[in-house]
Amino acid sequence: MVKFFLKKGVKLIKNKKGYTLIFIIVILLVISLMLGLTLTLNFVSRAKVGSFDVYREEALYIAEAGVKELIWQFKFSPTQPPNPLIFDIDFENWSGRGEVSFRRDYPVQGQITINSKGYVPYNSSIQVERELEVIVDSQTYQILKWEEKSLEYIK
Amino acid sequence: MNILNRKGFNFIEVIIGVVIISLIVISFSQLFSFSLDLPYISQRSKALYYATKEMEKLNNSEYSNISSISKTPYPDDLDFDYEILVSENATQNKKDVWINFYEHGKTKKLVELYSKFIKLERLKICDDFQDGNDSYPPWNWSPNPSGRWSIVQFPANSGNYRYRYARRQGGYSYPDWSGSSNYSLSIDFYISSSLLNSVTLRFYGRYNNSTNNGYMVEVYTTNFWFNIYTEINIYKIVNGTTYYLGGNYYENMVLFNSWHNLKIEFIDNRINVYLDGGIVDSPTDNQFNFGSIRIYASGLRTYTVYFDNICIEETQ
Repeated sequence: MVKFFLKKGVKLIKNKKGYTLIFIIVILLVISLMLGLTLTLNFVSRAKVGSFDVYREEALYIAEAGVKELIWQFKFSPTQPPNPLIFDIDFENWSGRGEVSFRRDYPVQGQITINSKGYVPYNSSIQVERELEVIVDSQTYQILKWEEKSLEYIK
Repeated sequence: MNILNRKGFNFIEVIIGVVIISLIVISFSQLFSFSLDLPYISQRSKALYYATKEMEKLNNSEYSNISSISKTPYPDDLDFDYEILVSENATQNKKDVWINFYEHGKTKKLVELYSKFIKLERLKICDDFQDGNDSYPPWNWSPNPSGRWSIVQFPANSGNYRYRYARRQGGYSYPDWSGSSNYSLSIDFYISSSLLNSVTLRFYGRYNNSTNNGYMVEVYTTNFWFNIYTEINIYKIVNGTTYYLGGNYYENMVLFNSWHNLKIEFIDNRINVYLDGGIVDSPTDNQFNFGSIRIYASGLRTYTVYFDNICIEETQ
């Protein structure tokens, strides 16, 4: 049985007669398939990268807005701000969320550490999160340290 | 030379041909995909860059210069329109800002960024009680004993609302202001009393209303037979114990039945106290560098005290 198939295979490989039509059809099919697939994948991935660029910037500015909102509440609000302080932002096609938490007398007495996160788009299976860590003086609210604590990541 | 004479291809040649053509196709497809990016994605990337640039410009601007710009062609690239939408809160120290970018002449947003801006200039808050109550804005007051403090028009039906306390036993009230370090406290007061009386007013600053530590200025004014004078003393209160820091004594001066102003300035370790614009004393102490305010009144006989224009202003 094995010999039979080997013979057949060798015969098929050695045969040089009249494959033209089948070759052309196969080649055209393969070319069309690969071209279409490559174009689609490229286009979709680039569109996604473009969207994530936007999400990243929006999330960063929401996190910044959270820090400013908390400092404003510390300084001007008659009541103590909630911990965490949460606010939602409605963009045209999606929404974002800011979540700000704080620790008094941390890392040292007289300082407040603020952790502010921006999520865009919020409540989506895929979203960007950016987090800022800011340390302010607990009496004057002067900013002593401002850094992006975690790089953005995609859930 | 045998290859040239062939009338067809064998199976291996076909496979090799397919692989070569596939590689060529993939290479060309990259070029196609770049050209397909241009209409939308490339525009969006540019718009994002411009929007970020505008937001950073606002970050470096004075608070007062952050204002709305209605939709207009973007001056750096006329392929885009942009707008800046600013809404400010009632106390005019916080702005919500949207920056939107559009393809020129289109209404669908390419990019929108949101942020907030706050005014961190010196704080100045005044409670003139003209809203007829002792609650926010600007502060919620905590009177003690409750029910003894009230907002009234003085003189009656004048439209001028004051914070009144009328009880021989002492009573105090304080706002829910969290406090500051370097600031001035200015208060107008009017003691309505018959001449035979002694009244004590106390004004607290850099004061912790929970632990009762901080500074206090006591105004004692009396008109009792041969005792006609006013004494203003400055104290430090540490865990209920008062320590004298300075003060002044005014012979033959009584503060009844007329408006007066007391001002306390806390500047680093110095405490400047003024009565009607004149300096009383300016002692130094460095124990407390932060706190809120409180007012207090008590009297020997029946009296009424009216407080008004209670203002704090940060000095640094």
